[in-house]
Amino acid sequence: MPGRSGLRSRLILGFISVALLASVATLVATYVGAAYLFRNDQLQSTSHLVDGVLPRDPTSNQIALIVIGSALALLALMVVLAQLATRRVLRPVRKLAAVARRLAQGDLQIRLTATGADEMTDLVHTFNEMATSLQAKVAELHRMHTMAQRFAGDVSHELRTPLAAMLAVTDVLDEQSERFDGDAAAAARLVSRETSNLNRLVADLIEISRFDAGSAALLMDGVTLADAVASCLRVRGWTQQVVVEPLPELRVRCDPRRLDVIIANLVGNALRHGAPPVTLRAWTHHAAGRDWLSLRVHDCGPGMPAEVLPHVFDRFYKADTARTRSEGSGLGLAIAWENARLHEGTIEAANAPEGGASFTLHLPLYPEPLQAG
Amino acid sequence: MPRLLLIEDDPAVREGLQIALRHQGHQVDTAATGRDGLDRARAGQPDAVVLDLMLPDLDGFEVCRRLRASTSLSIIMLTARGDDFDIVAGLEAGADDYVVKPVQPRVLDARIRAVLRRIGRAPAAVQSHGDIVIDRAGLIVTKSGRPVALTPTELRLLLVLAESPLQVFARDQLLRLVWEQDYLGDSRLVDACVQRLRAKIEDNPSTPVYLQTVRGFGYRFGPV
Ligand SMILES: Nc1ncnc2c1ncn2[C@@H]1O[C@H](COP(=O)(O)OP(=O)(O)O)[C@@H](O)[C@H]1O
Ligand SMILES: [Mg+2]
Repeated sequence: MPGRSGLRSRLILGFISVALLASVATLVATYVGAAYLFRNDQLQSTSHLVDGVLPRDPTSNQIALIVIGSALALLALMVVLAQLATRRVLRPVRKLAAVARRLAQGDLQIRLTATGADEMTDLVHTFNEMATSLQAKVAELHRMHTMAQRFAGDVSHELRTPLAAMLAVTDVLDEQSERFDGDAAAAARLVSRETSNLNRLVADLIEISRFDAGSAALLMDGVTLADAVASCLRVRGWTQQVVVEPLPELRVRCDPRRLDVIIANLVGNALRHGAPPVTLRAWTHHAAGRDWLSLRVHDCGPGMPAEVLPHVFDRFYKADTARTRSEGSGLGLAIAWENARLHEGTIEAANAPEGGASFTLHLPLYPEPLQAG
Repeated sequence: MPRLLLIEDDPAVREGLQIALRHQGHQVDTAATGRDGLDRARAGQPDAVVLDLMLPDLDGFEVCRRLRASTSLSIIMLTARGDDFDIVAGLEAGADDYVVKPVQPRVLDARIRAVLRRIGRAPAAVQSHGDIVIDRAGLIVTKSGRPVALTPTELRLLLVLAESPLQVFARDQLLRLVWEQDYLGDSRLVDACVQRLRAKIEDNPSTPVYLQTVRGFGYRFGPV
């Protein structure tokens, strides 16, 4: 960090230049004076000026040597003094810098203590005031954020009971609607379909609110990767629509439900937003000191524009505004991402070089204990 | 026709589920409170109980425990998604399975039928392992000559494990074989059921002999 020592060296340099100038001035004055005295042969009568220091019969060279020597000693003294002085001046500045850095890192409680009553003390007071108001603002924002989160969670939970009653009768409604005529049949089907959509949306909201509240927990278990993928596709009727490349033979320690949610989201998106063929590939590798499972879903659709890419994991983000609302809540990738994060993993969104969107899940592989107990 | 008892306090949910279950071909009795539910369970002798955990008087866990104390009928609880504490507590109280509210009626029906199927499909044979005798035809399990009262789920789990002694079964495998659930089923169903079974048949449930844990993988029967 060049900035940290810059001020210090400039201060020292300043001191040294002053010392240097002073020494040079002393040197020139003495030398000129001495030369003048020598020339007038008055050394004898003026020798008391340097009595005990100069040799009894000094030459002009000896005098020059002594003058230069004392100038150098003065310079050395000034350097030491400069060091000490700059350290004193810089200590509070350093402290301020360190405290500001910790503040920036999120330690909002930290304050400086003021000593004395100089400009530095004013600065310390101003800094502390700034830190206090920053802390208050952040606390307020945090409180509002938590309230908004809790509100969303509460609303979702309240919606669940009436929804449970409505959802229970959708099957009956669907079957009976065949016997209704015209508008009544259409209305029954609409109510039934939208109840299912609403149910999905509320379930997603509740899922998100659990991540926000920090109450989402991992239920770890061992699953065979190939089984997990096959079941995920089979249950949703996607087996014929996805090309699964040979998977590594692997038992994965994870929360099976959450893994299923992630895979289903990525594949579902590839089928709805992308285009066939949709391929699924998985491999293991070693990075950052641990083993990883990577699972990539690639489609041959339009991919995502560059300005969309940073937002696909945002809540309610839908790039494709032309699509009808009921096609998705826009929460799918946000939930998938949170699920990956809960496993200490990540999801990467990209456009494949050969075209199409490519989403890659990276999950750390936890070793599976295998001894009898 | 399977006879069900639905214990649920919310009138709309109760009515909705009753319509749906009746539509699926069940005979449904309902109760709005835990106490009423217990009375009706005693009087009506249903095949299975669908039990909401949030009840005004006796909560669902207590209803579950009291039902378990006197009967071995199947219990399916209705819980809120992700209320993991509820799920664990409910399974410990003796529930055989759970569904998350709001539930698709087809899913609930499938679970009920899976629970009801657990009784009554086994090859005829009498096996004995140590102190335990399993009569697969009569569906009777005795320990040191005394019959052990098992719920259909516990019995089915024991039958599956004891059918292949020493074979290690992963939890997802057991979920498929006993609960008829996809691998997405909650493996805590298995753990809770094993715990209950151990309490009934092991001499010392903390050092099990019959139902052994193979850590990180699953369970196996024996070696005895
Ligand atoms: N495979 C894909 N190809 C193109 N766009 C995609 C793909 N996957 C996701 N997206 C974009 O990201 C957005 C967010 O996805 P998601 O969170 O799953 O919400 P939803 O699918 O409900 O719209 C989608 O609306 C879509 O615009
Ligand atoms: Mg989606």
